[in-house]
Amino acid sequence: MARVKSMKKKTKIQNTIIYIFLVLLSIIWLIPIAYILFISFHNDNSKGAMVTMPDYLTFQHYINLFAKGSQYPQWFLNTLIVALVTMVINTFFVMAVAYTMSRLRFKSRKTLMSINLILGMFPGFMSMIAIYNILKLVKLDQTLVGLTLCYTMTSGMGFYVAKGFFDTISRSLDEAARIDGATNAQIFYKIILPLSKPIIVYTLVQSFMGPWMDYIFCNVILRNKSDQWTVAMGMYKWLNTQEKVNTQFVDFFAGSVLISIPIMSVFLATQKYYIAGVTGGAVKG
Amino acid sequence: MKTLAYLDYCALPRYQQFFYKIYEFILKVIYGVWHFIKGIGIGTKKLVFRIGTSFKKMYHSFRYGDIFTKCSFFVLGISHIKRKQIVKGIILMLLEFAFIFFMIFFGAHALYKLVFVGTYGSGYICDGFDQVFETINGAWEFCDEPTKIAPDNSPKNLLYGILTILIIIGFICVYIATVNASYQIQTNEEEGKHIKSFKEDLADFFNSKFHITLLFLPIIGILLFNILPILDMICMAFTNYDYTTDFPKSYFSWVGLKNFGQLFSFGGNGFGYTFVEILKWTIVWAILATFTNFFIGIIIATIINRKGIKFKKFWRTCLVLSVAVPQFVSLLAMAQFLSDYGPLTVFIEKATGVKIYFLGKATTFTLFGHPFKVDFARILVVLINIWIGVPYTVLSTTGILMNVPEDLYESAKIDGASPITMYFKITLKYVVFVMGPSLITTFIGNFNSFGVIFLLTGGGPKTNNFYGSAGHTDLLVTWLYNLTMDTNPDYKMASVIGILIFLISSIISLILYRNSNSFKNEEDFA
Repeated sequence: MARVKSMKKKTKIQNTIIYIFLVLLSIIWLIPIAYILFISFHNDNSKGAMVTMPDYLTFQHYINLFAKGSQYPQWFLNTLIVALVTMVINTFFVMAVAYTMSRLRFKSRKTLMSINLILGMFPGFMSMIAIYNILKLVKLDQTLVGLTLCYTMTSGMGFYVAKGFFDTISRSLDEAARIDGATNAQIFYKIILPLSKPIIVYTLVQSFMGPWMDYIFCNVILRNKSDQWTVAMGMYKWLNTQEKVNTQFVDFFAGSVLISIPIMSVFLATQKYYIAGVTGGAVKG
Repeated sequence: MKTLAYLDYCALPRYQQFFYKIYEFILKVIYGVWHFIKGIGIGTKKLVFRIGTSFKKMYHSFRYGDIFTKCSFFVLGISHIKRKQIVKGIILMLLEFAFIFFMIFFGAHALYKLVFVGTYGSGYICDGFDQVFETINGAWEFCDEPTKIAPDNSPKNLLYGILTILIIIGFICVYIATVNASYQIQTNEEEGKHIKSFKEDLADFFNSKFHITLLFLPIIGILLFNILPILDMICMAFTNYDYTTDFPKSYFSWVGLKNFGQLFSFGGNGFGYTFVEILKWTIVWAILATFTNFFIGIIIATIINRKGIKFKKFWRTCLVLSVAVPQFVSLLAMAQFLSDYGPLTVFIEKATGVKIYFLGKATTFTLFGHPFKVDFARILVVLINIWIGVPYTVLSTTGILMNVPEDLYESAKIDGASPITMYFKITLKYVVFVMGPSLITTFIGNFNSFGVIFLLTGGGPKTNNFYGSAGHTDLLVTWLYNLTMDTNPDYKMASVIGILIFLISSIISLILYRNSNSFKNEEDFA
């Protein structure tokens, strides 16, 4: 009996230590976020806000973002349009390629897959400047259309997660349909697509989120055209503009909070798909 | 590879085991490079073989084809039209005319331009003279009214040239396929087989040729926005393309392997020296970033998963919240907090009088009368990368940890294993087994990781010792980016780096994949 009691005591002490550890961890991981949120209500609008306590808390910075002369709403609208178009086209491309690679058997399937693997080894933005030159030739540089083309055209390469999903759908479904005289196209949109709602949702969300987070391609394609920027680009450039750093410093944090809320909620809602993407996609690739 | 059996390896003395491991590692690297070269060889062989067979088939078609099939070799589609595939025949014919038209009015010129890419800078020309004069005085000698012209548009020439070559390759493929198909329908007719009508052909694109329909647009996209730019970029590495030779200013042309020769310039702030330094740091960074994230993540995940810990979901959500915030927000804010006027620096300076440059230049401390330097930037980026990356590991390993076979622990307990041994020999081994392949992807990802460095330090602190304004925390990719997006961009060297990154990362992944457990035995974990 005594031994059981001491065991219990031991685990209790262990658990307490672990709880303390976990609380510490949570603090480390949450403090920067809490700090961003806190500063966004600071009454001072200069760099000094980071090191002084506020006299009072205010919503002024959030109002500033939508005041006259602020480009924030414009950036937001740009991003929304680009994201919606990207979402539709990317999902179509990814579904088409994933279905082909997973279900159809044709001569050059293996070759195409290995070419895709090799192309993936080139660093993504190695060819940025070439893409910029291409867009310049067709007079689409520094426009949102060009940016959208950048986001959408190569999306067919990222089919691995969706292919992994299609691989799990039983093949006997296809065969049964084929015996009933269905064509491959009919099998695709009458049988496979209705069964793949989760992966369609995942692809839609993923491709919708892309433009909200990207600042690299945006920087290359749009350069100094500030009325065409997306939110991520605008926020990134904010801290590179000397005058804005000095007089609109805290507005940056307010803008960050505002843009983070929708992205965060989408991420939290789809995190289980993210796990499937990491573990499933890598193994199947 | 000459390797020892595991038993022989165990029998070696300790220090020899160590040397053996090094020997084995070097062998693996050599084998990785060898397999890479072999892979290229096999690929070329397959390609040549395929081209050979299609030519053989073409010869066969010409030899045994009737007059219409033979005519199809010159005017595509004649054989089709003769055999009642009129629409298809006309489409093929139009395609050929379109191609010839394209070659005459555009392609030939583009190919000619590709030979030199650029031949003249901005200058003056006169009517009737091909020559471009650099000064207006030179032109005055020959004519009354010289006209000013812009320089040769080399970026455009390069792109159009590559595009033309792609189109020619595409047309040759179509040509060979059609020619062989015209013979095929001839034999079909002779044998009295059914020849498909245009309607049936169209229907095929939704059934037996559905893959062509589905892949058509994505492949066009990839060709134009991935393959064409990559080819363009590879070509740039063999030119002298930089800000002084960019279009409105001047022109660029081929220089052969000169840019790659710069790799061997080690003196001063030479390219070779900088490249080696940055490559070293990139490898250190990739290893550190991968393993710190992985092990710390697993430890935290096991602690949260421990029996008897409550609110598991809550702890996990705390961690995940930080990665749910988009990187450009959290990292930019981080960079502000750690900057020279950020709270941490200011408070530490107030308290101790030492100003620490967390993300800037190296900080000099005086300890026991001796000054010594600490480069905080490199340490800090690794630490912040842990902050960014660990939640991802926790997210993805939680499910795996729950699946560790329970009986393994029980039998280990019976054998008298301590919790620590069990953790290393069972838990960790199991997770590494399952996560192995994704760990390799993560490693390559870290090798090419961009966000953390770019947003935190932008590659800085900058140093004069490096080529092309590279900094102490620059990775190869951020350096590449800075070289292309600088105010004075250096496209040629950026493409050299790009090609090298491609070579390095494909060789690394070959080595790692070949030696990962999941590659060797796919099914069983033992």
